[in-house]
Amino acid sequence: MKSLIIISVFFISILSFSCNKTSSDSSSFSQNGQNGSLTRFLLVNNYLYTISNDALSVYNVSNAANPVYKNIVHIGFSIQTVFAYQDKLFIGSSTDMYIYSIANPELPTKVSSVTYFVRGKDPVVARDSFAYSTVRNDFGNGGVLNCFNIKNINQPQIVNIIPMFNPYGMGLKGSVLYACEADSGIKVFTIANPYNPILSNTVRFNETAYDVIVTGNILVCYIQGGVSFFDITNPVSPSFISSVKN
Amino acid sequence: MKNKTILFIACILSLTACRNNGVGKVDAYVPIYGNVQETKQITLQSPQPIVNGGKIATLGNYVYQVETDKGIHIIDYTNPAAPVKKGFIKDALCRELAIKGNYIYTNNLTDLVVIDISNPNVVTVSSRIDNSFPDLATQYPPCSGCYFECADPAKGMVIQWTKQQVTNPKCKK
Repeated sequence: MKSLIIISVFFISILSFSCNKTSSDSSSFSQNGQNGSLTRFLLVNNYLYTISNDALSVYNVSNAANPVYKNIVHIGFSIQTVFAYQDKLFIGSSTDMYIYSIANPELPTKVSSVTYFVRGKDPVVARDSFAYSTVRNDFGNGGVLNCFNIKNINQPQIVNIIPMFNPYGMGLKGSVLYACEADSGIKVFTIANPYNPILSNTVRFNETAYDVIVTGNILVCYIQGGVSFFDITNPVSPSFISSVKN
Repeated sequence: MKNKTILFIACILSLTACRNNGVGKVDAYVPIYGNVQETKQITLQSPQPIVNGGKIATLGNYVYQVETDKGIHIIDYTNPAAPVKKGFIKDALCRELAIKGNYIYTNNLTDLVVIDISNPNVVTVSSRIDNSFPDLATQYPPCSGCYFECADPAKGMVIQWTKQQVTNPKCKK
């Protein structure tokens, strides 16, 4: 009985210690904002990652006011976008999706890459076992949604290719994928089976949609000449709220 | 006969070369110059029209939108039914942004800059890392196989290019 009390006290003290640690961390950690999938600047915890045409740069932003340049890693050619999920970066180029590990945040290390069948401009979004990239051609009249199986992160595979019309940025909410399609609005896919997205809705709102940020029950959409807001309490049916234009 | 053919081809080639010295009136890029001091100045202004809106970032009840090459719009959407533009951060050649607490990371020309937005009335640059994004350099126009008016460093720093009809532009890339 006595030993049980000792063990309990021990665990409680560990718990309270870790609680203290968390609270002190949060006081020194300023909250990171969210970016759309088209971004070339990305914050992950206390690091800023930026991409150029061919490389990834790393800055330590523990002191948010004064970033410290840490590293540059050559990636490939025609790099377009960067996305993060947990300790992985997903980097879209016009020909490939690259996966880099940032387990050591100052030393991004290549894990794997996949070459697309269709070349173009492409953002990437990803979660545990799947990733999507849209690829559009330079003529604004074609493109695809690539679906990847990344269960084996060392060997991502394209498992499905869905034709799109001039696709741009994407966002994920629960089992829903939003994919912007410029003048055709926003396509809403149900991804209960992530390798077989089902088109569930098309949101046309007389704007040209380029990218989205999912923030709680609001979908913030980058449109031509401004920003639109949608209520996505029911994720499959975004309901238009307003736009800021001009 | 063979020699005459070669001579003929040489004549044609020389004529073509001559014409290249003056291409006549063509579509060409023309540099827009800026004062270095002024283009590196980052200031908070009253809300501006969104003309060429770019990428977005959100934090809390705010969305920040790039105005391509010009700056950043600050939009408060606490009430999403009636979002309000709160201000505009003038920032030359702005293309990208990311937000951490009260700081915006963005590019100013080819520099990485950190803009402190904690004071709603004035912004300050807390850090600048020169030439972090050489890809964004503007000394040449964003095209290939195109004519342009050669930049004249004496006129200042090239901050942008516009397309115009130019008679006999001297530069090509």
